[in-house]
Amino acid sequence: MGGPLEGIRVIDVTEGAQGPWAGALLADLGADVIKVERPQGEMMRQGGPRKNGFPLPHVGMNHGKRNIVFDVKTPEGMETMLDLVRGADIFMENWRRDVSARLGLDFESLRKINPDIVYGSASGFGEAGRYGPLASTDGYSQAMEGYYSLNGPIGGPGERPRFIVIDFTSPLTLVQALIMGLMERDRTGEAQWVHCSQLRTLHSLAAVRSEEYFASGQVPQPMGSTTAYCVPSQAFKTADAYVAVECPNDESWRAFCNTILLPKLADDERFATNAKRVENRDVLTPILEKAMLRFEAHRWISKFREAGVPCSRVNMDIEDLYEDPQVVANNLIVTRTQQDVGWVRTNEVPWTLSKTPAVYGHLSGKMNENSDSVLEELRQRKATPAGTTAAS
Amino acid sequence: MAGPLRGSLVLDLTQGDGAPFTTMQLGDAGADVIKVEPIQGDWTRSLGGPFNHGDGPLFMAMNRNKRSIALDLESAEGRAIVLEIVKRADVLVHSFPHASDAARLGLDYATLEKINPRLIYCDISTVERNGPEAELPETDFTVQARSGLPRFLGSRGEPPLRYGSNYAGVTASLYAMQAILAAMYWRQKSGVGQEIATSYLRAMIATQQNYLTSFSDPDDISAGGFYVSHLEPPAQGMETAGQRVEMGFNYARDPKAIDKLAEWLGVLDEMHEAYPATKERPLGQQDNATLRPLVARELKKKPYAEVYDKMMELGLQWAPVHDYGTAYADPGILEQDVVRTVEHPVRGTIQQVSPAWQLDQAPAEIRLGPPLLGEHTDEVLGELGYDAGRIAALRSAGTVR
Repeated sequence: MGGPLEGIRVIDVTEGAQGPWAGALLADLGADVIKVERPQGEMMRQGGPRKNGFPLPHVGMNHGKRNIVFDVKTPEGMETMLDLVRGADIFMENWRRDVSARLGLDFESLRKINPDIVYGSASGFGEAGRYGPLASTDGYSQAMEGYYSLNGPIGGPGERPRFIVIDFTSPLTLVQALIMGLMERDRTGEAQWVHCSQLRTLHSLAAVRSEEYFASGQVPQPMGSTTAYCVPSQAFKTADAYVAVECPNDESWRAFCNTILLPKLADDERFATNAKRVENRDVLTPILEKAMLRFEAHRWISKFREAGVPCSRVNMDIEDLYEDPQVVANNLIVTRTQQDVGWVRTNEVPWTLSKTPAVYGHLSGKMNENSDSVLEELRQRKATPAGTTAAS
Repeated sequence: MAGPLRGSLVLDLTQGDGAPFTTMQLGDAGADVIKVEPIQGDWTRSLGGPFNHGDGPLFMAMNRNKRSIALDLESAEGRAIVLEIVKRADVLVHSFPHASDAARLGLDYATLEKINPRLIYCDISTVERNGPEAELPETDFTVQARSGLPRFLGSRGEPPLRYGSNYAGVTASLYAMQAILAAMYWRQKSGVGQEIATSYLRAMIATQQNYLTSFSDPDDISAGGFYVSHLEPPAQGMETAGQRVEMGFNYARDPKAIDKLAEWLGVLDEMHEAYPATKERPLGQQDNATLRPLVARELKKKPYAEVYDKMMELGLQWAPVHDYGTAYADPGILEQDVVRTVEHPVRGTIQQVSPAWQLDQAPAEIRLGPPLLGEHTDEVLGELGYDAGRIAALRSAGTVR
């Protein structure tokens, strides 16, 4: 049994992270994803650390796909592209907004040659509008959306997580939209145009902070390691390292007070409920911070765990992840090998499906690696009378 | 009802700081979502403020397009109600705190599959259901810390920081949603449901996959900006008079754009002197670090409105560095339909952040605001065939609220 999207063919012309990661997830789900790359190589062929000449971010983000290279700006290339589209269920792009029409590969053009195509567009700032034409990468959409202002030390101007916050989450909304597009297509028999933008995905992802703003009119601020909605919830300094603690309810608050040997705090009217602790956080926090200095991190963690208080080490290096007991026990990080690239550490698939297990496909290697099989299928389809299905 | 999931029924047993985002998305896509809450309510209702009729921002952000029924899952009558919904449901999503909870309540997949073979059953945990620490209580924040996210913020030697939103929980929900949709798609052909599982931790590992691949004994780890250095100052944008901006110099459509910017800032000669363009390395290809200090120095003196006009004209990569005050006042953002209003009978007119995806032929709708606790208890029980007398008896017994 293949994945749940077995039999679905995807033409993926995306570059960078936002589109390619979506294509890789569709491949995990069993779709046949054909990555069409331009002769110069896609954006991520140029970037990031290399191993044996292969760009490692590209290698992981494009796993499970078949790779073919041609220049769509030549007549032969365009013909190949249109042939691919004729036999596809999904076409996905994340060009700048004016490119698809210029190439003649926009939704309206493609639905004419494939009337039930599901066309996916991923953008930075939307299909139209004044920001639509702007190029965007992760940091720019974080800036535009307001995400900078949610992170950083208390009292500071806000800062950008140095991590691709949105390039790895907007693909998830694109995958959702594409599968829903398939469902709607099957129901109505009509072509579908689905979209995701980095801007809207990030707004949606951080909606908790927007709700804070809508309800109070106060502009959300960077809060260090704390949060607006819960106290205590922060990384406490201990006698050595930091420990992340959160008390999301009154039971864990009482257990926390007992553990830090300040049981009377739990009976203090000023701190009796989370809402009151939030209100009186300036009084409460210094008391807790002082108490937490008494022991080392590992001692606090075992005490809190015994008491049922949510807590964690604060892992500051990627190596910490390799050793996390839950990561190890569930094989969440795995090593895979690709003959040209060598061994590569990657994630395990992000979900398990009991009856249609996901398959993490081969890592991406050389350009044009699968052109023979892709072109052979096209040739066979053309040789087969319309209305019948080519063997593949 | 619009949306591709119109006609579908979702039994929502999630609570907390992430998993309810999954079922909200199913509701946005048109499904009828029945949220079954404990008598005291989803535990995020009380987290906050600010509060809207007693409900904090976490709850308000993740529970629209749902109907709420409050009942006691520990009681036989409460479970009987849930099983009535199971019979009719297309999808069940839960986020029970312990691996054993579902079986203890008779709500494990093996049991429910027999009642409804079409059921798609999704289990969202924080740190997976197996392993030595699976039974520990964890939250979005502790999983952020466990997953190493603080290393992407702040400076080495300074106190660690967290992401300013419930990033782990919501990302897990995005993954859960796509697996559910894929299973629904497969069910159209096969006629049978299946069991899905994911976790906040699993999602945070998947989300960092390009770091995992990049740190696989590469030839040069510092290439291409993937090495996260706490030695560099955090990215905070550049000042103009009135608004910070972010600006890059690598993506110019017009090769002369950098020169035009420098000319406008009055530093064209100085720039060419400091960073001579070569054939191999034209000025537009200079990296951000070299040009940035000079541009930043002059940008400070320029009013934001002028910077805006110039940047839109030049087509350089740029963005204002907004906070939510300026973002929700920016017509360029508002025209992207990022925020909508919805009427609620008690809450009144409230604002909600729009669904992320857009389907032109089957658009998402926000039909219902986040429900009050038990707002739809009578309505849902009525649909299940309970008459007023039985509902009153259940209520006085404390089984429903």
